[in-house]
Amino acid sequence: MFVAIYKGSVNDPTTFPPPSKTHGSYHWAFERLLSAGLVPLTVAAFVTSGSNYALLDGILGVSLVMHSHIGFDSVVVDYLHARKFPIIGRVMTWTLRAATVATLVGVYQFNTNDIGLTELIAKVWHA
Amino acid sequence: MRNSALKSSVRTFASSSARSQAVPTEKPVLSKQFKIYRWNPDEPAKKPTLQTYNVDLNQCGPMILDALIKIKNEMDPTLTFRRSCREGICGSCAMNINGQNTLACLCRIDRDANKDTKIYPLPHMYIVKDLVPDLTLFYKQYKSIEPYLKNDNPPEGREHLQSPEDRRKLDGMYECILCACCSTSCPSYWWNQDEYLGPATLMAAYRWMADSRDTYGAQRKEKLQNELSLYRCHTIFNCARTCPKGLNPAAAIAKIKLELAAD
Repeated sequence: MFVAIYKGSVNDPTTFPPPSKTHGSYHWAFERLLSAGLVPLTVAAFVTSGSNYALLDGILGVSLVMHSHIGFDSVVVDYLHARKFPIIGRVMTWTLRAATVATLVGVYQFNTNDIGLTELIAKVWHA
Repeated sequence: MRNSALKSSVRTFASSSARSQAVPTEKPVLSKQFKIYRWNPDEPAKKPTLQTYNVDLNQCGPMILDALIKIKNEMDPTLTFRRSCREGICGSCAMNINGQNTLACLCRIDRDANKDTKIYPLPHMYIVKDLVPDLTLFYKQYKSIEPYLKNDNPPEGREHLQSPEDRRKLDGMYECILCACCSTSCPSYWWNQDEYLGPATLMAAYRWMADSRDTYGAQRKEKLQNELSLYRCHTIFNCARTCPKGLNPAAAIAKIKLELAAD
């Protein structure tokens, strides 16, 4: 039996969602700038020491977490989009958001109360 | 009397056994296996299978399409595939040959008879029969980007003029024959083809954005300002790698992204 998998007739063009720069070019540009910015930031963290430059440690912590959030979010959009997986998709989106917030809190705690990200990586590196 | 004897001797000479017709040199049989994806919609419960055909390459043209036509003509008339121009300009015979999407008419047969050649339809498409994919959605998407010149103020009484530099911007894009090799090689298109337009359609979209005679560039760009239509491109470059016409849809998509970001 023929199942209607296409919206409209075979001669109708596909439709576009309402335009939104936030989901479009702004998102893309932010993502690229963040990735590009991480390169000098990582170098800066490498040559300085985290405890002396707490602000740098903070910026690195936030941008690294944002960078991975965008990366994981891309995975969810690609493979578990809510239009195809209405339940798992939404669950995963919110799980990711919760994980990101938890990581941010954790990184903040670690940076303020402990040795901080840069120092930790340096320690692991030399271990 | 003497005359007729001469005539008969001439005829004898002309048809002597030493001057018989040249016999074509017998080529050895070079049998190669072709394993071809088969699925028949009349038996939908039967799973798709690979069917093996042996083709003598010395009795066959040089291209994969020649082998397919030979199989259909001489061995199995039920084998179904699209073909038309046999010279890489119609895009009908796009299929997956030895793991690469390409046009059967432009793909040479590997003459190593020890290796088989596997032929599948374009990946991740609904199959109509055997090597024939359903391209309805692909065409609907192409239609959605309005692939024609849009200009509200056409010049009066003459054609649109275009400088050679502006015309050159369209080179490498207008040659696309919409065979769908690139789109169906793109993992993003596999997973999200209901929303993501895919490289072929996006390059067509940019072909009209880049056209100096078209005045709807802003509207064309605005349509793509969403999460899925354009930005599911993750620069995998399968499109540029597989294009049988040697075009680069990935570059066109990168230019769209740049223009949208600069907007």
